[in-house]
Amino acid sequence: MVNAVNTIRKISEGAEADIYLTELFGIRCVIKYRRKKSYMPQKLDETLRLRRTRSEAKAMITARHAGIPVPSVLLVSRFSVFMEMIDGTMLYELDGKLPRSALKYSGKILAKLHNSDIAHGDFTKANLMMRKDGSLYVIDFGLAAQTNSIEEKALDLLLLERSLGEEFGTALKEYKRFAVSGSVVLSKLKEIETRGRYQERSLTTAKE
Amino acid sequence: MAVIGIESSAHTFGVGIVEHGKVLANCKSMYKISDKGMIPSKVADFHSKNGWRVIKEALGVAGLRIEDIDAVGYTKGPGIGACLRTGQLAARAISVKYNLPIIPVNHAVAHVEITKHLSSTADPIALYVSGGNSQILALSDGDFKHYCVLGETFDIGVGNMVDVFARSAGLKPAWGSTVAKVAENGSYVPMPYTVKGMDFTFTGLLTYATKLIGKEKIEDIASSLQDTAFSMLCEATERALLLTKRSEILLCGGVAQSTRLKSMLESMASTHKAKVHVAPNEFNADNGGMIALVAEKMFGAGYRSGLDSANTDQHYRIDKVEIIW
Repeated sequence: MVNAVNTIRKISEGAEADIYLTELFGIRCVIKYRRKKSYMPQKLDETLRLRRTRSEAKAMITARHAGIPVPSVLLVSRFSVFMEMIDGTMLYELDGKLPRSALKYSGKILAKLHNSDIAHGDFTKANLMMRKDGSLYVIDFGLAAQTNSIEEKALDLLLLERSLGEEFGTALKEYKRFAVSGSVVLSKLKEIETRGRYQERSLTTAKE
Repeated sequence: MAVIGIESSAHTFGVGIVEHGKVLANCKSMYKISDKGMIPSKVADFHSKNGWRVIKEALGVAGLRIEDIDAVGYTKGPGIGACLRTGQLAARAISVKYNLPIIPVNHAVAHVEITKHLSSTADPIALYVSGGNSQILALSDGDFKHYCVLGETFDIGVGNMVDVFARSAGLKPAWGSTVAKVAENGSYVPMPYTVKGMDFTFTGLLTYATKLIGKEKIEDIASSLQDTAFSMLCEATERALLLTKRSEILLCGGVAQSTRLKSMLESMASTHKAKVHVAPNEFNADNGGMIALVAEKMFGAGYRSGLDSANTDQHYRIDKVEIIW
């Protein structure tokens, strides 16, 4: 950690990273620190954490440069990404129907990510944050990949479809409007959905 | 109420007898695997020759006569077709001759349920790892109560991977334990690591490790293959554990006999204050006891069906099974 950090507070524990809240040169920021996994061979653990931290920061920076609303990356250390703190509510925390603007915006954001050859890897309501002014931010690039793979992009759409359910239509329309290779991704999505394992595998998640 | 269960999904013909949740007998005969692996028709032949002997042996151990049995369960799937049908035939024969209800059991459900039963946990997630299967499971409530597949292998089971590697390296069966023994003094060599969300693949790792044979020390390859594969399983399970917010993990299936996997999983679990439960080895390997246990639970919950639906299904997925108890 750097000296510019004063107080630091852990706000959540994910499967692979801990999230801390702090201030860096007066800017409120979030630190995502990839924890040591002591069950793995040390060399494997470090390789994975290093690779994932770097690719996460890289994807966020690329997205930011492409004008996509993501928290800006302030600092990257070995296993931590320091990023701008965004105030808002996650879409999955909102009750009732989602605002139409948010749905449209989610489709547009995904299209722009794909236009920049970024597959998010976990594009769901749990990673879309709405600010008070109604604007939408996409967070958590932990599973993101810099790729032009149509399959990876189609999987993003599949995840969004599962997450939004009936409301997916509005987002999809907007996705098609902005995505450069939208029709190719869409036909891949249809193909994925007809594959055996996705047809057979139950899509209900276990109770939480 | 006593229930007999017949397991024959792969190289083991197992017969178990359960009465009120207590396993009275758990007998088996195992096809001796040659260097070439399993030839389905030969395994099925072996089962049909040895089946009745094992059934009689189980009755003897339980101290029961066949007339004391109230229902007969068998493995419907998933498994090797020819082998499954041998066990099914034995179950159908008993059912017809002694006029007993016949109960088709899902092999994967049985592995999870026996471990759950023996460790008396309430609400665990399960890591089910064997030759043919590798899945992360959790019970999902709702109109259709079933084991939901949170994550699974996209290609082959972890046990199968270790077996194929061992054959390529010219190691002796039983391959899982042989590889573990060779791996004891190995050190880590980087290998491909593929986890996607809670799913994983093993074929890339297998190819890579196989190509290293002769170039690196065998103990290093074996240990790295094992550690990489198990790290993948542990990491995916860790994600599932945090997603479902549960605090208990069942480790079951043939590969659950691996002490290395068990200790890695326990190390992972301890960082989240979760507990790992593993059944004794006789219940991790394929066995009839687990089939009898689930058959008894199904029978007790009112499952009844005729011979018509007593079929086999090689691809009988765990999330297609309604848990009625």
